[in-house]
Amino acid sequence: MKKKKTRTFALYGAACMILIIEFYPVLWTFLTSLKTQEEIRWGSSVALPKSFCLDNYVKVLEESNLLTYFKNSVFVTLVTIFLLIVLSSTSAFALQKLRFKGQELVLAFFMAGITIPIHVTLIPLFQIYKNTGILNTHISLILPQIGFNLPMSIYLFTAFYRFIPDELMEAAVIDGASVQKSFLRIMLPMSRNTVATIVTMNAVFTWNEFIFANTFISRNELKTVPVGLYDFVGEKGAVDWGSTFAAISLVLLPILVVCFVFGKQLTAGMAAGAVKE
Amino acid sequence: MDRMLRNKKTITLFLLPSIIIFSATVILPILWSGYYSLFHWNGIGKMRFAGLENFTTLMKDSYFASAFFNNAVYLMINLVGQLGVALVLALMLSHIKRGNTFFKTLYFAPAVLSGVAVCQAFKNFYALDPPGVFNLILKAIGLGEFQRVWLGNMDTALGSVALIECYKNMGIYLVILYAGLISIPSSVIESAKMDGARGWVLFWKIKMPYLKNVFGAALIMAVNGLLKAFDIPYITTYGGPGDATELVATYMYKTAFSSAKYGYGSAIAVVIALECIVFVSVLQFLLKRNQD
Repeated sequence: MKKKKTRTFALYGAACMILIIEFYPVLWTFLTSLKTQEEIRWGSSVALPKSFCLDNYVKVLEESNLLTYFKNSVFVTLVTIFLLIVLSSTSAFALQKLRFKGQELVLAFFMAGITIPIHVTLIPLFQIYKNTGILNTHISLILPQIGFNLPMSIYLFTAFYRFIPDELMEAAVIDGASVQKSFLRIMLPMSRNTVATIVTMNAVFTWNEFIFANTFISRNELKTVPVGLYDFVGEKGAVDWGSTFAAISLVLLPILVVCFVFGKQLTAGMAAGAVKE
Repeated sequence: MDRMLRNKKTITLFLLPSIIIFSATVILPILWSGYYSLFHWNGIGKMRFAGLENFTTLMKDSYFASAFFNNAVYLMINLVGQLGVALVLALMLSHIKRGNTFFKTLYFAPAVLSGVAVCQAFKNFYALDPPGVFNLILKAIGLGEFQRVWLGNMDTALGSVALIECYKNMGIYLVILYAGLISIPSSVIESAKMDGARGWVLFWKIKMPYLKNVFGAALIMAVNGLLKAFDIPYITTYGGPGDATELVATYMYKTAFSSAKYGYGSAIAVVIALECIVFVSVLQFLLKRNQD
């Protein structure tokens, strides 16, 4: 019995140690953001801040476009997720519950998108956007992110619809509802867990998306948080650590909150994607 | 009922918008990339047909060769650092009875952090002037002579950047492998324990066969992601110093968008796509064969 207790103790000890290592970069970022310019220059980089100095935050909010970047990211993320849910739930419904020839083929067509690297589409998309005037608009970020995240979302919805018995819909249709209505009133509300998983997962993906934003947006007032932060860090990173890490902390905060509150949905989505086969 | 579910109008309404967006943003651009790769083109002027010239140049391009080699090293380090570490931690968590969800979620957290944020913190950790945490630890444990500018050194830059990628993405595989581990029926494990299976034997002979499919899926996901790794080396070192941390995707990006060689860049993009397709197919084939 005593041996078992020591083992449990060792396990928890190890788990906590790893937790500290995992969170050190985040903690260090917050601590550094509270330091004064002098402390950063002359003190040890691992020392705790001597005082609780919020000057760096004031400076970031006053001098940078961070709030604009936030506004842009919120807009892009909300629109992307909304359209993604609408498109993937309806097409998964069609692939799973409606009846037509070639359903399997269409599903395979979408699934082919899972392994395709984003980078292959960058050059053509850049040219297409340039010629159609979409370059430097938020549409240029929203469209490809819907396209690339559709396969996984459609997959998750089809996996769920497969387990809803057809009789449920038939009953509604006999009661006089159209197919569209029974989808909206029965299928979609039942799949709210799937919706929650897809929303949280893609909120994080879209919020952090870097490569499209770095390629298609060059006007400052349209940039999203990752690229805006990248520019800010490039400008201040070597000189002004205080405001660099204050800006980073402001960016990390909402993501961490989402991660803590919706941790279950987030991790469920990640696991569902791989455990499928 | 059947007639309603076969209604062409309903099907079109539900399916067509997705097909259009998916085709326009994913499928068509890929084909287009293949087309561009057959031309010399600076993005503005006239496109000159090149046939397969871009690909033959690529085979002789020593900078591409080193990017390819770097990418292979990057892949190997990350397979160990992500899948290997994730497997160990998943096993550890599966032995913890209380609070495993708490630990799992927090271990997963780095995966959702913005890449720019993580990279900037690590840039400072790797620095020597002022000494970052890595160099301070080395000094504290008496290995002061190993202190260096980790990201500025040709020999250590690639490994250092790879470590950031490990840190950031390990949690994804932890969550996946943990889900696989706890789905093993406890009766199987109990009866194996009755038969005297312990520790290593229990893991290798009982748990691993159950975990094989999930591990395989995680492996495919990791390889596929690492072959096109971009954000972290691009943000942290921009491929430098020299070509030390240049990967295939960062080279492609710079070729197209910094050097304005769109045809040549597209050829590299096509190679990345082919790599992904080939590796994923081979892995899938091997896993399938292993199952029978």
